[in-house]
Amino acid sequence: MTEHEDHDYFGQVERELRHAIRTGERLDSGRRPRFRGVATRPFGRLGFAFAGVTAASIVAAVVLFTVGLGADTQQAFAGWKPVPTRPAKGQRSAAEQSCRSTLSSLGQLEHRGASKVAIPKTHEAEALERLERVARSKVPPARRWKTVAVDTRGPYTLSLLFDGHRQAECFTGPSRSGHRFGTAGVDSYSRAPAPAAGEIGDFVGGVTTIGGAKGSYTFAVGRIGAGVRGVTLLLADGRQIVTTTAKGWYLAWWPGRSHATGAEVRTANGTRRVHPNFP
Amino acid sequence: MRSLADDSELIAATLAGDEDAFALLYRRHLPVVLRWCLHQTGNAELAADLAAEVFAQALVSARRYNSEQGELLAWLLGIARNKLRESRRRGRIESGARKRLHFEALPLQDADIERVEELASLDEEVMRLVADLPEEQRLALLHRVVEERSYRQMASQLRCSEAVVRQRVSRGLKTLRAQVKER
Repeated sequence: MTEHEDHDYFGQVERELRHAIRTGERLDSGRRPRFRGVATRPFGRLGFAFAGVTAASIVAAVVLFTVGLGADTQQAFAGWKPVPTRPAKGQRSAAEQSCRSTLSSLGQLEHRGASKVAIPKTHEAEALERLERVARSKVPPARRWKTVAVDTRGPYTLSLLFDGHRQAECFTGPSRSGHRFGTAGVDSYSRAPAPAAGEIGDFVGGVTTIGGAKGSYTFAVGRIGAGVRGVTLLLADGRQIVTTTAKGWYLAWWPGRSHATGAEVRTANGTRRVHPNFP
Repeated sequence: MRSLADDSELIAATLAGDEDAFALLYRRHLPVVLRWCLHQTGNAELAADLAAEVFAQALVSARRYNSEQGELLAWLLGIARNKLRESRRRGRIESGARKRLHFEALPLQDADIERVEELASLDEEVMRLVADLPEEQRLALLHRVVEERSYRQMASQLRCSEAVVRQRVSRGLKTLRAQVKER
């Protein structure tokens, strides 16, 4: 990248990266937070309800931490819980309906043609249109999707679906204005081998925003090996998020943009802390 | 020699403020990341845009990388996957990390698009053949072809004359060509 670095894109990217290192700003600290004590003895049954003293202490700890997130984030996801909750009557079916509708509308857009998709009128418009087309062309009809796991936290529902080739996550819940919102993301199904027994792996996730920065939430979906009974994610801001585990997967979400720095994996042999390379 | 440093050493150096270290990582892994992006998006412009975001995010999150938990490339591709997922959700290529680092808007030109194809076509099999070359030839080829260094720079880095560097590159290419023909 030397001979033509004055004008080439990748050379310019490199210079921007170098500049960022020189200024040294805005990089993650990478500091691992100190977590409160967590039981390391084997649990009898955890299930999604995660009842008991341990859960109560985690909830208490998390509530303390979430207060620090600020009123806006709290309001954006009022009723959110750090542990999965039992779904209210009709919550799962409403979420499923919303999800299928969202996935279906993605499919319809494909048939209508990408020209109907609203995209910014910038020099990137054509490229963006192609992205839309590529993304949507890979969305199969909604009827093929099968729900694999459902995570409910208060009035919010995160569902994981598969169609055999692709996976999708749907997120639904009440918005601040009182209406329901529904979002869906589709991705190619990872063909990586399942994690070994007692391990977790293949984390996917990211930060997503609903209705502006105040509506940011982060979700995590990952695979679990045989014998894993529960996974608790440890966030950089100190929160601990008990995930839902089902059919070889764990999933969870939380308000804000804090990333996972580690996880506590529970098996019949006890609970151990791991620090995978969560991207 | 810096180019022999493994990824974790380069990440550590980056965190200590060594910009050359991250530049080397960038050059080392750009072809594979770019190829992945191109395969996923089917579009050279989007692939370039996405790859830039991946490396910006990798820099932002460099402290979170733990070499004991896996290869850097796997981590980079994990970032790429998440970025692509979010891009699809939003209908535009994610740029959060670049904004955070205050990257300037980088327009793509025709030559850049060609470069995407070029970089992405650095075939894995060929790279494996490169890995089997004698050390001197391998280093010379990586410097020249992958990292696009000038012969003058290479001579300085490898502490030899430009003529010697040219000879090593030439021999490396000759060996590669012979091996590819055999297949």
